[in-house]
Amino acid sequence: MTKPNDTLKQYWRSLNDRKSKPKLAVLGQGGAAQEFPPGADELVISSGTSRRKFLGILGASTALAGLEGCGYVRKPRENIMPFDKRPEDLVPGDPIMYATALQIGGTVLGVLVENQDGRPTKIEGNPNHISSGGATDVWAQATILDLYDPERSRAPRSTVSVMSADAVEGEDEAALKGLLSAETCAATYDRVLSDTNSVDAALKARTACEARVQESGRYEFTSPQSATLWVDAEGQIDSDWGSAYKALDELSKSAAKTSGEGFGLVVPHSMSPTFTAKLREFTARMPKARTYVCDPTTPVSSLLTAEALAGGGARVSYHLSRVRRILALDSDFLGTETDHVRLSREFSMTRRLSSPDEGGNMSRLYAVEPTMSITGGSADHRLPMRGSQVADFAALVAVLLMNEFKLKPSAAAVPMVKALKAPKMTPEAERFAAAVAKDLSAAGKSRAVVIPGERQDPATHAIAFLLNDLLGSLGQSVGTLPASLHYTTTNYAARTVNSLATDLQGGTLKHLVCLGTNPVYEAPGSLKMGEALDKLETLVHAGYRNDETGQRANWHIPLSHALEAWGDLESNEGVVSICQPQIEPMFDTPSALELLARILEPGKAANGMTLVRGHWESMVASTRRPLTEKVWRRWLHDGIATGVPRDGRPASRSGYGVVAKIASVRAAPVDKGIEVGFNLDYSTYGGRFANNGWMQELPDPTSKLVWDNAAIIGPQLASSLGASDGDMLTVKVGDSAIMVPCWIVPGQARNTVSLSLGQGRRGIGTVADGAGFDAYQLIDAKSPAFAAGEVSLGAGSKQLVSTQDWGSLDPDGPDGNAVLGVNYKERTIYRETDVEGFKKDPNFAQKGDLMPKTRLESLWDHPNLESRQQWGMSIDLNACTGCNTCTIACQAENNIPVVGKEMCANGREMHWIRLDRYYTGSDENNPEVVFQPVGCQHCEAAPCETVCPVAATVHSPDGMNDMVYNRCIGTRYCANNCPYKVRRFNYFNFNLDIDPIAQMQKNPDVTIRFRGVMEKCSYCVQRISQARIDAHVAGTDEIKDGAVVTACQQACPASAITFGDIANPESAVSKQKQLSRSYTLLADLNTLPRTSYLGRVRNPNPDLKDA
Amino acid sequence: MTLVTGNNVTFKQLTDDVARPMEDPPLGWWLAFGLALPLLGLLGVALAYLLWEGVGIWGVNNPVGWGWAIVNFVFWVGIGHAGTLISAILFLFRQNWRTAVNRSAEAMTIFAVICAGMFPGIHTGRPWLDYWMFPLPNQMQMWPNFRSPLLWDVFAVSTYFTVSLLFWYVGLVPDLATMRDRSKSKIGQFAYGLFSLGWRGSTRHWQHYEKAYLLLAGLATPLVLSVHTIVSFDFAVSNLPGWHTTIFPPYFVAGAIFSGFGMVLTLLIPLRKWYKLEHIITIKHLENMAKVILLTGSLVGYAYAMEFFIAWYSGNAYESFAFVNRAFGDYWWAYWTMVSCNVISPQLVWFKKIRRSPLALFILSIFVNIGMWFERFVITVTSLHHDFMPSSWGYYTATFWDVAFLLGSFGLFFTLFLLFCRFMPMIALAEVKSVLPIASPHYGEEDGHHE
Repeated sequence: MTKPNDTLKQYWRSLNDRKSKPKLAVLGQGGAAQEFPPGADELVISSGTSRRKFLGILGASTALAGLEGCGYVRKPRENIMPFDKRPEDLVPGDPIMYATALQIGGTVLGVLVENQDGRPTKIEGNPNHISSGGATDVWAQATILDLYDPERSRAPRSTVSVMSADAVEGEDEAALKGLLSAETCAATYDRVLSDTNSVDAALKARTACEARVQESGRYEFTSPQSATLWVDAEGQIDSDWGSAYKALDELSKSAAKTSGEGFGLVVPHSMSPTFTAKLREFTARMPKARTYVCDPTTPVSSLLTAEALAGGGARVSYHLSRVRRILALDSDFLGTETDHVRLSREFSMTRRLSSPDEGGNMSRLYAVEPTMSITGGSADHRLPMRGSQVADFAALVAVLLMNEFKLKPSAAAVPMVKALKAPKMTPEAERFAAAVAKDLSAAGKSRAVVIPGERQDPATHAIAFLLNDLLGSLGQSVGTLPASLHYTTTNYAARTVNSLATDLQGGTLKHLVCLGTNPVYEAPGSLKMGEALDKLETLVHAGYRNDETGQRANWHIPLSHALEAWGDLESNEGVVSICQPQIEPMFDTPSALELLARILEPGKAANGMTLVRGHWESMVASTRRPLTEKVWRRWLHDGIATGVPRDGRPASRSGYGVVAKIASVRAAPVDKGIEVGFNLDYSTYGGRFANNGWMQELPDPTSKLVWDNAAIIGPQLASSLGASDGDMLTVKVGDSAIMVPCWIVPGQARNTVSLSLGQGRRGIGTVADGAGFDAYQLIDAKSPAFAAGEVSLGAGSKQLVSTQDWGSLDPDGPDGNAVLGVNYKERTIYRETDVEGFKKDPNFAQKGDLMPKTRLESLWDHPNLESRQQWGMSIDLNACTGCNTCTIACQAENNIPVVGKEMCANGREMHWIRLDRYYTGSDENNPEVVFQPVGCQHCEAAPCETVCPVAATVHSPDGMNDMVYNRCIGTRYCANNCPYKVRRFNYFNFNLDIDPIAQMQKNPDVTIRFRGVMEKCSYCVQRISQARIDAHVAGTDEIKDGAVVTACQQACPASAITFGDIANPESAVSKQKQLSRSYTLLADLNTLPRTSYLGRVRNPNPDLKDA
Repeated sequence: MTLVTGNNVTFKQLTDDVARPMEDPPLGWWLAFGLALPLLGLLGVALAYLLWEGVGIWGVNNPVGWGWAIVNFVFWVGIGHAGTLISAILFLFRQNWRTAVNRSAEAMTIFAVICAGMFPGIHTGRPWLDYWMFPLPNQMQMWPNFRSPLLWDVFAVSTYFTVSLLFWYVGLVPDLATMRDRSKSKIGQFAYGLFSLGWRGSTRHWQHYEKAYLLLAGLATPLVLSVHTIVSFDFAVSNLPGWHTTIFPPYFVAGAIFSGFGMVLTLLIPLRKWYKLEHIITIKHLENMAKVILLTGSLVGYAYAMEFFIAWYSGNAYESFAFVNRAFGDYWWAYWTMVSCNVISPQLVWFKKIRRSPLALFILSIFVNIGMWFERFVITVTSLHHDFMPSSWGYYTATFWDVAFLLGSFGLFFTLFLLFCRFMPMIALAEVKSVLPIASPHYGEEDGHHE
């Protein structure tokens, strides 16, 4: 072979080949291809063989010689990659938990993330963190799936085409320009050809490109030989990080020159102290720049009123541990509101009953709301009411408390009293208010709390302050944090999307950076944000997805996921956590914080850890304990930063005057006609989780709809419209109208329509595509939560899928509807009573069985339960709020597949634990709702086991009903014979073709099930095995009580689930099972379930009981 | 009683009458075969798609884990019963009229059991592992679960199939020898010769043959009762309201005989016309079978009533609900189709005009087939779709592939049956000859009898 002659002409295929500059310049001149760093050239021996090559040949010869001796050795052909350096403490197969924190709306959850060989797989609550207390919520659980979304944004995109080239010797400037132009347009041609498959279109695009280059092409010479061409592309096209950063840097530099004139920043509601500090720095550096907050999950009303009362940076937080009466004013504090996890825990603590004597200590919850929330479901009394009338109701209660029950406000609150007028309400509401006021006033000082919802305008929050003040709870059970060192807020009211829209319309904004925000989708429809943003000169969007805003932007820059980035978060309670990345950013993305820092210092790649640590170093510099490496590590390890200086002053309540002013500017309630209300979606949470399969397939707590949202209407409105489930309605607010299918939910306030926010996203991924309807379009910016509207029956219908279409238990009462003496509809599955009934009959829960115990017999011998430890579970229906967290935690832990809407429509959803929802009560417009988590009951005399022909489901010696996937041939007989219907079948190969990125989420301890096998709850057998191994290593055969925590139990914010050894009478679960409220499902069938339930005890107000 | 009508039927004439349509099939045969083959093709396509995709192509779901596949299985097993009843029980009871119909009824049994046996095999999630249901020795010492009724099914159906096949084959031997002797083609001579096992009709052959036949009849008789009893255990041994009832074994057996006779009529009424065998399969035969239908249909009707009575009398809410739901719930239409086809329509047999009219009986037999298919549908689906937990209630709708499998199984059945009619004597020649008037030792003693 001859060497190519240097003097010969060189040919090259494309510009990339021709570029003299290598792609990976970081490795020096030679690039990645070259092995040695510059200066350490390979020694070339004159004979032609280098030293390395010689060694290579030597090694190969030795290996071949070895082969001869041992015959065939079949080695795996895959390349496996061992850890070059094993991380300290890493035992392969042993997960490591790292602490971090997540922000869900206005809530910060301290979490621990389970890492399996370097990939995070599961999120658990951090028991040391007050906001989570070891529990989580559905969104925290689902965050892990978002991390591995194959459709997340991976590379920058731009409407600008950037092409660089170097001249070869002898080429002049004009030739280089021509070359760049030709290459740019050739790339356009290729792109259009591959997109459209049409040569004509491609040729046309190339001609258009040439014209654009002529008109607006911008050549940039870095040296006489090296140039870059910037020209508008034919739409948004893939770009590269270098160009994206360059564009951003240029924008930042020019903004800095004019102190931010015409420059704007749209940020999310961030609870990160470092991020807020950087924002402050931004405002200081660019005083003329504007920042806006766009985030539908921002608790605006709370923030505004808390800051009005106690100064900038103040926060309001509720504490329910000692509380005996709660009034929720359209507040879903157990579901979607701020601090819902902590509040669920505290609320459930007040609902625990071990004996009837404790009934008097139980809390009582009143809920006033337009649409059935899980808080409404947990309430002892619930009044359906138009959302816009709730402020009136609050005022009425306040007036009654002062006038009837002579409660005195604190001196500071006197201005508030003056702002209050007693409104006129319906007799039903007035009766309810009177009973509530009486009950609240009787609760005792600081033992009653009023919680207003975020949908309510600040006026309701202001009145709630007065109510809490009257009840003596302000400063006690209702805390207002003093202005924190870590937060400062500047005038939320002036930074809303409304003002963004105004500024855009006014043309004062030229350049806008949306940092992790999506105003096009999330802004109220009346603002027409999409069109407004098109007026900008430059729109830069940084986001985890190339979302609705990103698709309109000139530059889209992908952001890291929260689990990939350094950060910090301060919870409402004032606990600071450092967020540590659980994995290196998978696509070299910066975090929002890093990008903000880059805007402040253009051209400088910021490092998240340096930023966060630097911030806290300066924060604690003033204290006696500097941030040493040891302290820093302790913070990271614990997930809590201790010794952080705070403002120690108690919150002032000096701002009552301002609060009174807020209260006086109430929006007029929608008294007549239809009220349209908007609420955060229980699944997608305002849209953030719209492309998350787990969340789309998670049934809504009350409607049980999956993969959709709907216009929720009550039975009364449905009958007056003549609508049935799935019929299309035209919902109109002001000038905008949308077509949306309806779903009838009992308990909806009369003449109201509720729409959940966060569905109907298009173009962000295959999961979200086609799911639900976008209700943001309908929102009028002037009254974003509730508005007067119109609704009419439209044409056609849409298939909505509910996992529980059926569901009435004993609808006509225990004696009603009997045919020839048999009440054939009776189902004693959910057992409840009230405090009085519990006193009368402590064993009420055990009395519902339809068959006397003496008549129960088994056809077969019971399995041999010889193991010393016997596992069992107890679920407290008094604590369960129906929040669904167990379902998602189980899905994350047990690799449960997502099957899609079509499959769900045919009842093929795979959830191992489901929340059964039943309605009770005679008034379908105001029923009571109950929730019951049902997973495999692990029957000792399991009906499934006896019928399996191949013994694929068998009993373990420690009392569990095991499913042997390998043995299962899929007759489905077990599922038919399961009275609880908890078995789930793989009708198709649901786990086939999972994207390699999504595969990273899978729990290696749990088998991925294949087509044609049955699966079901295993009591997290993998966790029991782990605990057994741990116990064995520790030298004992006995697993300690509490050492096994099932995934559902761990995640449950209400601690409703207890699991453990029932053979040990001292274990927590045994103690629960010994309670008189304990019963088993369908005990008539003599299946002897290992899961038992604690019957629910309601705590009704005697004054309202006969209603 | 003359079982073969027509004057002066000689042995040769009978052989000719039966063999002629085999050697030269009538148009009706071709038409029927032309209809059956595409349906068999549909079954092939459906099977391939099922194995490729999984049982999700059917409408089965949670809570209805069993759908048309199991309905079809029970339906076809039931069809099989008439053959064994006719050939074994009526043989033991010396019911000589059975001779004209037993061969084809037995063939029907075998093909129906083949159709039936296919369904449990393919309805599993992983059909390639079905052999795990057999107690095969293996190194892991994994045995099937002997408590499972599905396992009993495996034994019951396979035993039934084996015994029925043997019984049928043993009965065929003398006739195969006749066909061997008549055959003009080399292949025919070889094949019939091979399967007739060297039958020469010697007295010793006859002696052995009749002993073997009697023994097999004795062996098959309990199977008539056991198979459908065990199939009913699939339901009765579960704990599902609507399934868990002690009446199921006798009720299923009665239903099976009912449906089996229905199918025999469906098959024979056209065949006797196309093959011109009206003098062998006489109106009298049809009438006898119609009477069995009347009896078993009434038994089934009694069972339906008794189920309702017990559901109420037990005072069990789940059970009461299951039956109220059956008759008045979402699947009321299936229930009332079943009742009108199975209970009401057989009552027409009380009328002599109807039970002696082949056309009326043919239509009636179709109703019986439909009704009995719906009976299995009602039992399987309505019990499953609403059971104990209202939260998990659902609704089952069949898909295209469910229908394809039902039609395909008919395709398989008819293809096999028509091939049988083409290549095997569909009348038990040797047996019918024994009941011909000419075979009577007293033949010709009465004056003017045969003139």
